[in-house]
Amino acid sequence: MGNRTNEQHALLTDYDTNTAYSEAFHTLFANIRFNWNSDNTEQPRARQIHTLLLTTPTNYNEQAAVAANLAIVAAQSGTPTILVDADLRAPKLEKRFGLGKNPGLSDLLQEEGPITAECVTSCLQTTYVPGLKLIGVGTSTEQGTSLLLSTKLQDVVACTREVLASEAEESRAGIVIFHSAPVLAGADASLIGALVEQTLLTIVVGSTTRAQAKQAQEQLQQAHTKLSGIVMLKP
Amino acid sequence: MELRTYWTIIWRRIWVVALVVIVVGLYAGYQYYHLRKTPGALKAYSSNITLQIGLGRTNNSINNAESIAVVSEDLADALANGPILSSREFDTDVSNQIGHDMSEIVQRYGNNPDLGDWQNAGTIGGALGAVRVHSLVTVTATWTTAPGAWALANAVGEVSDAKIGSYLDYVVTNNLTPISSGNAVQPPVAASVISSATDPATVPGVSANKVTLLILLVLAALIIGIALAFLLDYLDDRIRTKDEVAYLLELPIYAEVPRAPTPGRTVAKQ
Repeated sequence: MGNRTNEQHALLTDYDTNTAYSEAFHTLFANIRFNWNSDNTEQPRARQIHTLLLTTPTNYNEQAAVAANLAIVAAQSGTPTILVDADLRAPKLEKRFGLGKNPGLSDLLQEEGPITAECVTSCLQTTYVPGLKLIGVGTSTEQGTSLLLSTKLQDVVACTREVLASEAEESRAGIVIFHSAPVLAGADASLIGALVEQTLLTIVVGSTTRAQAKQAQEQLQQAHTKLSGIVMLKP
Repeated sequence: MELRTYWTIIWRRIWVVALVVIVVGLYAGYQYYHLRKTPGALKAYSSNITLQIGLGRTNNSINNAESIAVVSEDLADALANGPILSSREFDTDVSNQIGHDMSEIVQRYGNNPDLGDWQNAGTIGGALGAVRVHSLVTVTATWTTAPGAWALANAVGEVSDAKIGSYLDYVVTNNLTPISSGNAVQPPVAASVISSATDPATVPGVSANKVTLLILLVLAALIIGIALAFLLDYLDDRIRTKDEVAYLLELPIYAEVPRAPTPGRTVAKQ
């Protein structure tokens, strides 16, 4: 589990399961699963691995906690889960789970050869939540967000699904959850959103403006992102 | 449902409403405090005295009753509506008379009665009013203190009784020729006290209506505060409810995540 810092304390595992806060994340994951069930009844094995992007219109400190908590709920419900920290601007998830700096997404995107399942597996970090693994931002973040423009991003997404599919049991669906930088901060969220099945936009009550929400929606739609729903946060 | 929405908006901006009401309330409170401290501003006392104005008896006087009645009413009208009561001479006489009546006032109201600013003739002029019915004139003295009101009304009666002839006079003419120039002697103007000065009664002071205005001011501040709250909310672009988002983005709401509780503590379900 590693040393628990202050940043860790916002994770769902620190709360009683019957709190409204905890229930909200269960509801969120249930609604995401309803969407799978309505979309896919008979799917080939590889397609049972779902991909999801969780992003927000503008910068919000607790956004990483929302992605982490959703991943925790997914893993606790028995769904094999990989959480990918794609916020190259402000990486937070490794610290949240008490993990050190390891090779991650940025290293994969700078890989000289082709991206393989083995490459992705080497970047996976095991968290203290059973069934939940993390791909951190990585060690080579000097190039910043321009890394996401790499054509290898698509391969990373595909290989991550492949890795999860090989780890998940035959009958179980898995989920890869991406946490990205805010939509209006750059093209990061749009680039990832274009490669995943679903994108959820987090709206912070009393902070996000109507203009920001609308602009974020338009930006994601321009990238042909499948924006499927909203998560409302009351800070 | 609409009322609930309105209340939510007001509650969200309650600080604006409170700020406006508190600022105006402080101003109103300050003004009220001053009114309370100003004698006669909120509460005053009035005493009435009724005088009959007429003509005195003389030898060889004109005994035309109809003429006397007409002249008496005209004289009473002149006293009630003319400038006599507010004239400096009359008010100085009244002030002096109060000085002479001091023993009577002390007997009635005890030692050191609070008579207010009774030595100021200008103030006395502003405190007197009168109404007339035929030849009867009722003079009302409104004063900041009860002893002062009575003393003033009483002094007006005494001054009128003794010196009305020096303030009121008339000329009887016949084809523009004064009759008094012949053998007939013109009767003097007389005033007699019909009803002595009444016990002072409490009446609203000169600024009593200001209290109502101050209350209205605070109410207006409340309304302005609420209006400001709605205006600020209208200008605020931040998203407040899931209905707003659902309407704006036309997307389903997957979950509403409340504020994170303190770790380890159970919080009741919302």
